[in-house]
Amino acid sequence: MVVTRRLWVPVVAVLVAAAAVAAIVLTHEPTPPLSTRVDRVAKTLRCPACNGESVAASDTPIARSMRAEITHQLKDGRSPDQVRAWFVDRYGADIVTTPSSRGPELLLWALPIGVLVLGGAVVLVRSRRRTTSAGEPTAPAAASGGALSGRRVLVAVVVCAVAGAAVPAAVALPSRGGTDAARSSGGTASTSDRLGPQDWVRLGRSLDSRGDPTGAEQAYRRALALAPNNDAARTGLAFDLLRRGHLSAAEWLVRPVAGPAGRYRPLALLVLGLAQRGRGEPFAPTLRRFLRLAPDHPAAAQVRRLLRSR
Amino acid sequence: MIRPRHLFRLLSVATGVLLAVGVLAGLTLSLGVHGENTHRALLGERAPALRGSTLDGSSYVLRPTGHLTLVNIWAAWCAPCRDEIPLLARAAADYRSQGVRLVTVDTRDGPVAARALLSDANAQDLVAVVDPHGRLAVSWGATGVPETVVVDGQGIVRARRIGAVSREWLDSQVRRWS
Repeated sequence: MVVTRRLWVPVVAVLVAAAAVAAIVLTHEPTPPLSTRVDRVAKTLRCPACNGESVAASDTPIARSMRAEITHQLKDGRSPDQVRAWFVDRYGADIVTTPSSRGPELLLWALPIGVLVLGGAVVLVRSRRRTTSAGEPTAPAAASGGALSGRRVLVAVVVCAVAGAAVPAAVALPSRGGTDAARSSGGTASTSDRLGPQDWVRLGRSLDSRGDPTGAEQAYRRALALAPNNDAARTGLAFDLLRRGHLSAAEWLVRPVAGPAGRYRPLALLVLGLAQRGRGEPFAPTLRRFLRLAPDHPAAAQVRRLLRSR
Repeated sequence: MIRPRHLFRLLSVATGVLLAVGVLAGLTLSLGVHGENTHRALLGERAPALRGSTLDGSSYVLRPTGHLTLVNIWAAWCAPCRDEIPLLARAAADYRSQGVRLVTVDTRDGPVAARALLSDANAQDLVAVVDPHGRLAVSWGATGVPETVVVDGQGIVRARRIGAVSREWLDSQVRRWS
């Protein structure tokens, strides 16, 4: 016993010294490069235009703008916490990817603990009841059954605790913390494979409206890979290519859609006319055909001005 | 003294209730508490600074003047923004006599494309502050383009519209906050 006590002292001393050395080493970690620090902060912020992507993972214009702001502020010497606080002022507490420990989100933290505590109490009470029952002559099988039920209840408590944590989080966070498999390149193949051409077209339109022409282009290309003659995908992709200055490709894509009557013919004529204009070719007849087919199109007023100013 | 049998039932029911509360809380959070929070950020707060060069080469600083200011964030690569520009130009001209200002922020855009759009839409009179890296848009809490923020005469943010605006919406904001 005396030997054991004597051994304790050096062991504790060595542990304390090791902890002190570790603390010194950890606190003297060299400052990482700016890009790494930006990435670390960006990973803790949610992209407000995306479904469940962080600012670090998203390539939307607003996420790029937010990364530019993070870079600027870190360069100015602000701490990551100050940068996050600045974003919370602009976008609300929800911009931070970790749930806050205030307000309704407090439930996400408190519920699993509550379920665990209550579940533990259930196990205790149940095991005491079983022990009591085992001593009664009217319940001869209660002792073995009690042990088995105790384990079952314990498993049930653990399941409840996990559910207590997972259910609210899973229900609450899909739009914020989940992953948009269809959109991100890291999406699972099984989810992507389930999407049909029209799903990809819808996704392309959505990305277009969010100002993400690169993502939209990829979505339209996926639609065309599944249905090469899909007029909506051809026109959508052509429109994106036109905006990015790929005039020949845009023209090539919409020519088959601009000819025959169809739902997407007006938009195809618009893209074709604008591509012809960009390439210095005669474009007025094409745009006039567009105006005849869709006089109330949102772009019609601009097209009329364009034709007048020619 | 509660009997063990009753205590067991009580605790079981409490655990079930807690789980149900969890599901309900999750549903509540997913049904817009946070989305609303995101969109409502800055409402009732002092408007962020808005200063910078404009597309026509002059400089602009937003200062409270006692009159309403509408701040629209746009880009030439954004199709809804392109559709919205003529409406904004008309509204800016119509509101001028009431002292209402309409200022735009051209974010993450090429100045050539932006000027061409304003020219095509006959909207050269629109004040367009250049925001090449998107930092102005972010400082105004923008989630994308187009987005419009209403700032009252005292410089307080009063409303925010994500997506293209209609003339009705603009008129209603001008009536409400002027």
